Amino acid sequence: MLELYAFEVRRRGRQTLLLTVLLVATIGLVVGLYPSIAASGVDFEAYVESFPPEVQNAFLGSVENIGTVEGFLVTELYQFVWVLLLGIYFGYVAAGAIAGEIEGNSIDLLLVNPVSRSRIVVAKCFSLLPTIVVVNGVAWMAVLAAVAFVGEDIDPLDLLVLHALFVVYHASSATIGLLASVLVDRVRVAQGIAIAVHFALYLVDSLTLDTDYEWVGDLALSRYFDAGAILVAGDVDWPGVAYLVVVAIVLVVVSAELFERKDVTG
Amino acid sequence: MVSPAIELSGLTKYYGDVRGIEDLTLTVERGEVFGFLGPNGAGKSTAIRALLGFLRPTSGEVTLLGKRVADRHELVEVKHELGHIPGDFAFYDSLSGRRHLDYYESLRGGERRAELEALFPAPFDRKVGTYSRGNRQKLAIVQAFMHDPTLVVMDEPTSGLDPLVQRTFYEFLEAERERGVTVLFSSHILSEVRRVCDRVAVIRNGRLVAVEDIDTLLRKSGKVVRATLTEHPPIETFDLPGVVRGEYESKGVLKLIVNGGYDELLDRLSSYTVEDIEIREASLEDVFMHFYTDRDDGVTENERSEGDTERRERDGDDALPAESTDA
Repeated sequence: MLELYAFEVRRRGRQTLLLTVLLVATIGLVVGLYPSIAASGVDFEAYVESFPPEVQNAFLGSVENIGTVEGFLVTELYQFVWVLLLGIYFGYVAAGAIAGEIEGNSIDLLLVNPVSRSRIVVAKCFSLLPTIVVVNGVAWMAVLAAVAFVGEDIDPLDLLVLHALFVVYHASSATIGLLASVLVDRVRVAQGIAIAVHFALYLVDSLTLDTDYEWVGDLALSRYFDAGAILVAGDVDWPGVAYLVVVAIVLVVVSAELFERKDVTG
Repeated sequence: MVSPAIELSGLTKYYGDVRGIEDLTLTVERGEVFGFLGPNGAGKSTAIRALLGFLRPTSGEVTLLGKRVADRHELVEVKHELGHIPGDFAFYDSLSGRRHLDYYESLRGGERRAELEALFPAPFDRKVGTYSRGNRQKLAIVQAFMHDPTLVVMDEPTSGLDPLVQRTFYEFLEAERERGVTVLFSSHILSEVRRVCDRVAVIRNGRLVAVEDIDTLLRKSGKVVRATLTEHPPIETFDLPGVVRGEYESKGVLKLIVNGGYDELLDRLSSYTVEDIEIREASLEDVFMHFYTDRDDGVTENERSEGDTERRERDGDDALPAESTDA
């Protein structure tokens, strides 16, 4: 299983590099904007107040003070790029795990190896972990560097905790794609499902927060991940983290079992 | 006692209402080279996929080397001793052949890799995406045998190979048989099966029609004689010892399936005006048409199988001809 895992990880090397470069560039751009925006004396509070509450939920999270560098990072970078886009991205990538092998006709040469199907699913899923860790690790350093470069201050430990928890969040996001990958044989369909589910959950979470229908969004992964609270207040919602871990484990186990029972037609 | 290499009992696979294979029961002994013969779409690939555990059978059981395929753990165990060339497969296009072989070697070993790479050379350092069909097939052969498996299952392994490599492959298979390796492979090419196999299972419409020794199959395959005669003698005229079946294809065009007794046939033909004549090897289609379907007409019933056949009586449209009484 380790061999299988190593093979999959190596195959992801270039993809990891590209993604990291792209994100570092994004970080540079966003953080680079901060001094000029802060200096322009825009009244962020008023600006934010003008948003409908749903939009505030979606893009601001729990941040109260967008004027600080922490608040700015959460609203401009983490809430949108890390929670929504990267969540979708890792689900999208995981959606190719099994469906890609089936659609690409390489599944037979994989299945004939003395490795159980469950292990194939687990190895493929875990092969995403290095990418997730590298992306978040590099991003942590990049944000620290960029913030220092513009002459601001941020608590490196809180930022590290944030990225460490993002690893958990991204891993659980990926497992949504993994399940889709086992359910359907077509990569595009699996990717579509992964994107749609993640995006829909994110929307439902944002739209129902603080309404009578808040419970509808309780399934959403993003509900259990409050970047603002972690970075601004240093509060970690541990039960929320536990929920993400449980979701990830359940989805991997279900995916593995479904794949064990699946008819792999040529 | 050593368990048989492959045992299928009542193996059935339906895709919804569509029949893939039905009630396949057969045993392949260790050291045999066994052929799955049938036209395209007969269910050969479905049978192979089910016996390797890729498909879950609707009913029935498979054991490979004494291990039950339906049991996850036993399946993983047996795969250490199993080699496979799939019918319709792909490698990872962006990786080199060497990378693939390294990968497979890490998963199941590769003690014979160097020997096989020399025997079936392909541009191993190039990306598989640039490979020709033949090179891909060679890479598939190397990966199937490099861990020195006890049992190798192949789905039309020679497709895409040029004749020279095909010959190398046949010779290699013969050497493998000498070493005691069990081989099962599917084919729709009679000459291939004839050359390599000890026994053959004939599959049609998802059902096992017969299991024959290769000698029996050879006897049955025979020649097709197509003659255009000016006269139109009654078909019974050609009711000769070597003639298995005869009919008029169209007006004056006589088609006979012949197994030996050529002398008598030529004598008989010479008493008519032969405008045109063609004699060729029976194709697989001919063999199927004339030996493994219902026959309601035909000249003679002799030359029926009397070999050690494990025929399966069944009803329905694919039923075998009744057992020969004059054998």
